[in-house]
Amino acid sequence: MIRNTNFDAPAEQINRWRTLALGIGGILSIVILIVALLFPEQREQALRSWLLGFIFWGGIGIGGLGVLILQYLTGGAWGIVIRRVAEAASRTLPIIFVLFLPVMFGITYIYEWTHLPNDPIVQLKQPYLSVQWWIIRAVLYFILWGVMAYLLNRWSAAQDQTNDADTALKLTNDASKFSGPTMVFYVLVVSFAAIDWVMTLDPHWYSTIWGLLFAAGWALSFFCFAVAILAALSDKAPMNRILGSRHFHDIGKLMLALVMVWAYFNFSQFLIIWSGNLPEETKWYLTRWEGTWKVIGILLIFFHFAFPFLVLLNRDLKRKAKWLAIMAIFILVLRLVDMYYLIGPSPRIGMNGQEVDFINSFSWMDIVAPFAVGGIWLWWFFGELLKRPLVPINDPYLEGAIEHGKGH
Amino acid sequence: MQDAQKLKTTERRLRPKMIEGEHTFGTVSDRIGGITLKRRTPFGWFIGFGIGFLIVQVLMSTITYLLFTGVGVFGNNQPVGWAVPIINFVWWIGIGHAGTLISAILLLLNQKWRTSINRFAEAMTLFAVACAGLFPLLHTGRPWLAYWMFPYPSTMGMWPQFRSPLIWDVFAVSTYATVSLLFWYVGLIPDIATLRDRAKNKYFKIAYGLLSMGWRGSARHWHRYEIAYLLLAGLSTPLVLSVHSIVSLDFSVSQVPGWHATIFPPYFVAGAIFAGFAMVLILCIPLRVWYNLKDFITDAHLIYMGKVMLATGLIVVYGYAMELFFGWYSATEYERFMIYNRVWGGPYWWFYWLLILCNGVSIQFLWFKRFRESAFWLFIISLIVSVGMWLERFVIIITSLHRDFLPSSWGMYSPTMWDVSMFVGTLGLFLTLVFLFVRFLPVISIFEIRTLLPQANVHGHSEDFEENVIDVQDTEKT
Repeated sequence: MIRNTNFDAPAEQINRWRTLALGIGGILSIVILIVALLFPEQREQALRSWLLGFIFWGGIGIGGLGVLILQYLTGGAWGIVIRRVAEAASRTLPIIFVLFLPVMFGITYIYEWTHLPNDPIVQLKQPYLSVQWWIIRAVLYFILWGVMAYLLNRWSAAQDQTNDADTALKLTNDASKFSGPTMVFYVLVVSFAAIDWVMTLDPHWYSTIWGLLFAAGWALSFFCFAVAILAALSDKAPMNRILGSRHFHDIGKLMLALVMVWAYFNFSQFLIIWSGNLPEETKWYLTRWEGTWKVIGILLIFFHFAFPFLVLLNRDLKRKAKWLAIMAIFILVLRLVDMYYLIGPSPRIGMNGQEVDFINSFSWMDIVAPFAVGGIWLWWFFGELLKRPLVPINDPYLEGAIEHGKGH
Repeated sequence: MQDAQKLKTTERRLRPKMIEGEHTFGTVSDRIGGITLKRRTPFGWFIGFGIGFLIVQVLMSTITYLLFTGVGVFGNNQPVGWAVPIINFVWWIGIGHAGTLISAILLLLNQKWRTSINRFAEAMTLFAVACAGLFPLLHTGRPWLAYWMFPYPSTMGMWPQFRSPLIWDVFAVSTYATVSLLFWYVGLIPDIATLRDRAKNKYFKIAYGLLSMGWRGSARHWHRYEIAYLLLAGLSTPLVLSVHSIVSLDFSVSQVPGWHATIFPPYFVAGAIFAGFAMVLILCIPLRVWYNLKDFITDAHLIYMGKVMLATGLIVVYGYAMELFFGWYSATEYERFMIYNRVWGGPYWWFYWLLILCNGVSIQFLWFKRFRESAFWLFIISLIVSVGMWLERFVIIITSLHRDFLPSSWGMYSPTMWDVSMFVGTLGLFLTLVFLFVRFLPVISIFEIRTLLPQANVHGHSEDFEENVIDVQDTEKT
């Protein structure tokens, strides 16, 4: 019954989004590229803004890989309906690597520690804080993520092709078995990537919860993104036959949980550093406790936690695709602000390692670069989304999952 | 069509069975309620209870000696001012967390496998919290003045230090104990009423009658019950996270290297659930054999618990890894020394490796089906993990304190016999309470197990019902 139905993505619609994304992303990327190449005094800012966009959008793609692994582990209807979105996100790794290249080649313009060979603390952190090891590690992260994404996607594609129920079942089971140990490696790789790419912006600072903060944060980003995509597809064929309000309800609960986890991790970090009051740690918060940075920090408490928390408690809202999608996009915007709060105030090479206030540090490129990176990423993502049916058509749990969505 | 049907069949077959054997509402009540009502108290029960009760006398003697002499009887001294009493406190309070997770979070997540293990997991939570509470209470030296810890407008004009996590502990643990007790008791009411109706003994009738609070099982009762139970589950859920987060803050808000790490709250919570599931397995594996409850606590339950133990254990191991990495990466003299001292340079280095062996290596066996499906191996691994979680607190607390900043103030720690007897005593208390619970209250929720039966789902929504039907078809075919 299910096999005879067409579950291909609505190509016309998605292609329109795709063109739009490429148009915006392409033009804005060229703008950033021109600024970075032709205006040496703006180069640092351009690359920092690019890093912001990269961490945000790359985080959605990498978070998608994490959710793909997670749903094979936990099972559940939400995992089946979100799987193809997560797979498409995980297949964006090649473009994420391309988008990473400016950061990699611009490393000496972004990371202050590349200029501090005589700093005693940076010296103690050798060889971790050395350009070649940093690059080798980054390549290694991409290889590891790539292997995970490649295998999971290959099995899923093979499942679509098979005519045999036992093979289909075996492929789902294989993916589940693979996902257990893979989750361990995934979280470790995300942790170290987050340390390398974001934490080392402040070369002296450290916080042990950092990896978890990104593992959870990127998963939240992906869930929000996926809700937006699923809601946009929910009234068109084929997803209108598949998605039910209960699917959105379930994913909405996961969003709520992750919003709380985000607040829990951040508050833990803040409280422990504040209470310990050690100069090497408090410096990070002291910078962010001044002027407009403080306003952004407080904004995050209210709009990245309190407001979504209260709204997502509402059962009816979570069950309405469009409303949940609005909330998801709202959280996504705040995710970007959160990344900006982590990246923006860090020491600047052009200012001799000084942190600068928001007024002097904020640049138009901080807004343009996320659009530039996002346009290109989305263009690739939609391309990948088109390649496969929007649900895993031969997954033995598919029918149950569709049935689940109609329940209450 | 054929394929779709086949897929559907395989899918149904994949779902593990949460209840085994041929049961009706009546047999469920008989089997579980019978433990307290019909069966003669088995001889083994008297032995188990007797051992527990004897060990409680050790606790009583310790407390008596402690109160007459003062807290100096414990081994705590400079530089190790916090030692075995707080290790035991954290160990016990952590164990309780599995009960709350099973009863509250798994309820909210619609996980059916919680149904047959929630009752005694909650009981275990209560008993563990009781044991945990004894340590800080008695370590104050004057437990009869313990109410000073609460903020009330006293004539002394004294207030607790609200910035101290120790006072947060007072609130967190007392809330936790209260909510857990209520949750457990509310869940028990319908079952106590069943026991009341079936009891033949006059005293049992009166006791259960009082405890069941006039439960008649009317629709209105059930309606209110469901609301109350769900609300209590919602209230308990944040407690799973908050209690052990605050316990972790006892350490991490300080500046002691080895204590001051931002990962502590989630890492402690995972450790607590890890230790708790180990204890649930330690209790339920013998229980289901002795009282013939394998129909209700099936192998599937054990496998699930093994998986949760593996997952939370891996989070704990992640915590160890991050501690090591950041100890080095911090580039702080004290942090780096702490790692060196903890792992190979200090006199307690072997505690660390024992801990890695217990918590890190032993759980790796749970990756394999063979070990997850074997009650024997699960039991052994759970015992090892329980030891490991005790060692973890030893490594964190004592190894960090005995060599902190100034070498001139370094020192060694050794527990006194009273430290040991107090811990052993609480084990006895725990054992005694568990045996009393098994004897006098239904260890498995009778009415919730009934809802798992196919008869309870006449509309055909029940997965288990359909599962049974398909199982029959399968056997017919083959």
